[in-house]
Amino acid sequence: MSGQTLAQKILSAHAGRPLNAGDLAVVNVDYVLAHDTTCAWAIEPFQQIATQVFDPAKIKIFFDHAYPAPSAAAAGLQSKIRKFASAQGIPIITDGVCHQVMAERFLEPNTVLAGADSHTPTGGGTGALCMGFGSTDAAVAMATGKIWTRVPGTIRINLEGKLHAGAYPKDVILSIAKDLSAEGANYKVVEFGGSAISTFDVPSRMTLTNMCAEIGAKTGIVPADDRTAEYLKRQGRYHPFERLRSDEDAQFEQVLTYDLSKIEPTVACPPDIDKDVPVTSVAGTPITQVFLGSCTNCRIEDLEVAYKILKGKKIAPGLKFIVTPASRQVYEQALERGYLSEFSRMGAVLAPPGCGACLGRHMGVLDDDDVCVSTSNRNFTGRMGSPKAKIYLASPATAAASALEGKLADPRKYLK
Amino acid sequence: MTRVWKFSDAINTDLITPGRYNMTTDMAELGRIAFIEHRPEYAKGVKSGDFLVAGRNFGCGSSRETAVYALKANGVTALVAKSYARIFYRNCINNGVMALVAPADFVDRTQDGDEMAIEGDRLVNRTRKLSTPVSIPPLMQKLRQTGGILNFLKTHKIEELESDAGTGEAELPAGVGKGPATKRGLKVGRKKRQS
Repeated sequence: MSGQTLAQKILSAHAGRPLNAGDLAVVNVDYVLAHDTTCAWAIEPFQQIATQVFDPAKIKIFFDHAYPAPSAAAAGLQSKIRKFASAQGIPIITDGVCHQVMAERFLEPNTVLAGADSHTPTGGGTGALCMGFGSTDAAVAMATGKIWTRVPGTIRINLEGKLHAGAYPKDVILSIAKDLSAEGANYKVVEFGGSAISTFDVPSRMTLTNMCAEIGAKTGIVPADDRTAEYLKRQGRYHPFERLRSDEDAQFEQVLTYDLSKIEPTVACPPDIDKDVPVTSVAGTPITQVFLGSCTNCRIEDLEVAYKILKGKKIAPGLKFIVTPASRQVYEQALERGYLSEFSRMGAVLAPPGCGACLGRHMGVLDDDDVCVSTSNRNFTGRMGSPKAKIYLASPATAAASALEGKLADPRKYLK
Repeated sequence: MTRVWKFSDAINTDLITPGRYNMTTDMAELGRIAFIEHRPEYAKGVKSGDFLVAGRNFGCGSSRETAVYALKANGVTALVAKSYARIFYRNCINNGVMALVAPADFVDRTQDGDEMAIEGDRLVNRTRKLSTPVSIPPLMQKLRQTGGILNFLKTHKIEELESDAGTGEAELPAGVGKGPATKRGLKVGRKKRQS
């Protein structure tokens, strides 16, 4: 028998027996995540099979998709969730996008998160195995502390070399999406490695793992290392962890190696995640909105990149520029560093931490004629509002440069 | 007769139940918003027993289970696609919804409005005189028979699902994806560390 991949080791530890790709297993989970949309749908299923959750401390419920509520309907769903959570002794967390807050406060390397949200893989940047599920699975996990899963195979992606100025982790994952396609990693785990992964801090890694959802993966993961320890220390919650790795003789389904020096600023064109082109080929396309936000790209490091490009300048006249920090922690850091006052001075709309405009529910919904540059992860038809609107996905740097010009713009000219 | 509603590749959950419309936990209401913008005539015209036939990566995108509830609420016999996105596929299994994988040729030759039925162990397009074997993974079959995972768990422990080893999420049909690229200095190796 060949060795195990990192994901197989983590799942084996949580199943209490050795597992290999293809096995069907029931595994214990360390955390369950649900939010104002998916939790609403998990309550009635939960009540069909249980009266009490398996452990209230391990269940994290967030209001982030539409908070504060933009409509009576949304407020009604949130009230319903509050009653459920209160009865179960679970606090509601309203401090930003669930995936960001999970990383800031809870996730530890080699743990398992069952999240009722497709972008749950974001947390893989901390070295945890974070898998997205639906509401029924969330209900089952809340009731039993377990989830059924087929043990996935792994695609290994090695990063080598160094990014040039103007290219960022977002450009790396968009380039990977282009190569693998929107279904190229279906049912698989994407494990990142290579000599350059040590140059990516945890927030950068979360941009990579976040978008593994967009190529169909069960999750993305970066094996925990010194950078992970550094992040956990910065968050004031470091505990020594085992540095689990895939075995030398582990079987990967595919091994891809990327030379980072060849990565250019990249844009995903509407309406597909894998329609990725160098920004130079679409530069000059007129836009009406820039959304700097989401679990993909609105951490303090992202805001810093945008701030450096935008500082002291003006955004294009008439442009809607929406800044939505990923979490309250990020919001407060950005306040302290003066980023938010500078964005405000330029005419940006500062939105409260949360998912914001990403899913077209509030705070930046697009009309038919809108063309948006977004730092988020989905450019599907209708994702952010009207099915006629167009969404280009890009890095915070490209988004900031585009905000200055009112057109899709190459960020490199602003970095000199 | 039971007809086919034909859809393209990459039908995502935002097209099935857009985020702006699924602020409800009412099944019937969700049934009415199925494809509300993408194909408004669907929810009005679909009848119990109909088939939904789509291309690759059906159900990609968000985890929202409303996409499955909305299709289930309208009583389709089965979803038929070349391939499925994983969360959507799981949601189908958990809800006892039949999600069949069919060969590309069968899907491509099937047109909107064709008459379709399951006859014995074959999926038959009566209009085009096409048929393909129906293969339902044991876990999907078990949860269909029990009416979904919630009903199953009322009388069983979750660990009992393990007896269906190897039959959980479908494996990816061969040849899915654009394949490895060689552009931009990308080097590709398969199973490089295999010993």
